[in-house]
Amino acid sequence: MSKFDALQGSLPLLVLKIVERRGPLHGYAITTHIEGFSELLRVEEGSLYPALHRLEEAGLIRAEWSETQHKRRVRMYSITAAGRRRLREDERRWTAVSAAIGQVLREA
Amino acid sequence: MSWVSRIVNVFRPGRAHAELEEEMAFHLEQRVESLMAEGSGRAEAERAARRRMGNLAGLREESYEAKSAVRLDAVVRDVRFGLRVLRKHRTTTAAAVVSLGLAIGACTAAFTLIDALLLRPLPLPEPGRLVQLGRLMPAFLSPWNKAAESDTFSYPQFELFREAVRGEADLVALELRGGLQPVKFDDAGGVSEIVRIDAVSEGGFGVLRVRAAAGRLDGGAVVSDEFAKRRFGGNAIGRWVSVGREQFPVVGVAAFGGLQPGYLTDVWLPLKGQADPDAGRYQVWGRLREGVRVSRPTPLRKRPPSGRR
Repeated sequence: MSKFDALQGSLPLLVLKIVERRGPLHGYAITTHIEGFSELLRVEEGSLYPALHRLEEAGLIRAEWSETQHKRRVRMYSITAAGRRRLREDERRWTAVSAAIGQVLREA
Repeated sequence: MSWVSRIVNVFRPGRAHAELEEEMAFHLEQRVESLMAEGSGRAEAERAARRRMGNLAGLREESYEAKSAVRLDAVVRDVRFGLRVLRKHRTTTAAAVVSLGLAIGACTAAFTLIDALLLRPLPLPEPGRLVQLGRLMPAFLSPWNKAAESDTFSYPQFELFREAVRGEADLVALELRGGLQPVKFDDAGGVSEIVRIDAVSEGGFGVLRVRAAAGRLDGGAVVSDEFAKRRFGGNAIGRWVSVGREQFPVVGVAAFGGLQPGYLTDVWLPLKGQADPDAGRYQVWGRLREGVRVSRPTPLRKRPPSGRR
């Protein structure tokens, strides 16, 4: 784990969002996409792959082996219908909660 | 992921691990390439990428948990462990297996006996309507001067009972000799054979509703189907059997082994009742007519004297 785990708890949400927007993607690409947004968002491999496999297990994303241009076997992840529904829900909750936390921080 | 693949993953963790390994290897390569593109040397880039990847074993474990039926996996491991321990402590294992075996065997034997004696109905139609007569012999009539239960009657008594319950029940007298006796069949060339013989009063099989497997069940000797198969290969009818000085034609084959658990009668002879009222050797069985119930016997002295009602 990094010294500051900014992604604590929100990694599945980000993975779902990235995979929905840019998928199908392999694990490394998911990392670079998320990290591309901010220095603060550092995706640990030790968290990413278990998270991917749990999401797959829950039926929220789908994994398929395919080949790169260099004939390399990679596992590509894409979102499922259930994943889309969950993403909408989690996005709403995240926005509501962070707005509430922001309010507390400003006004308490 | 389907349940099938989860279960497959439990028994072949290698497959899931190999796939994860491949995925990780690709990730590592990509990371190395990107670090090199930023200007690092290969060796340095690989070191950095590996450091970032962290503990692969832990990763493998976590991912495996997500991908397998972990609880089943735990069961499999427990079973393996149990077997290993059993193999290590051979004496204890042997003792446990032997005592378990004996206990299970004893229980099975006891149940078989109870089942045969108490639970299983007689192998006859409507066994609920069959009754057997018994009596309590007062002490002064008993040869041992003790009140005793008895289930045998003399032939004259049987005839009296038969008359008394006419219309309510049909009675049959059985002479269960309960032993092996020498007989001669006419196809044996004078050689005697030892068989189990019992006798049944006329019409008795009809009362018990024993099914005839062949022929008729009155007017001669009747053999059990079991015995007919064993002794005659099926064709028993038409043979003659000599018991002592008497001869009987075999007229039928009964699909019936007898009324006593664990004892199969081979040959049934027509019962010839002895007129001697003291020769109390016959069991009396009966079949109640429809709607007739057995009432509890009432002590004699409580009845009003007959004729003075």
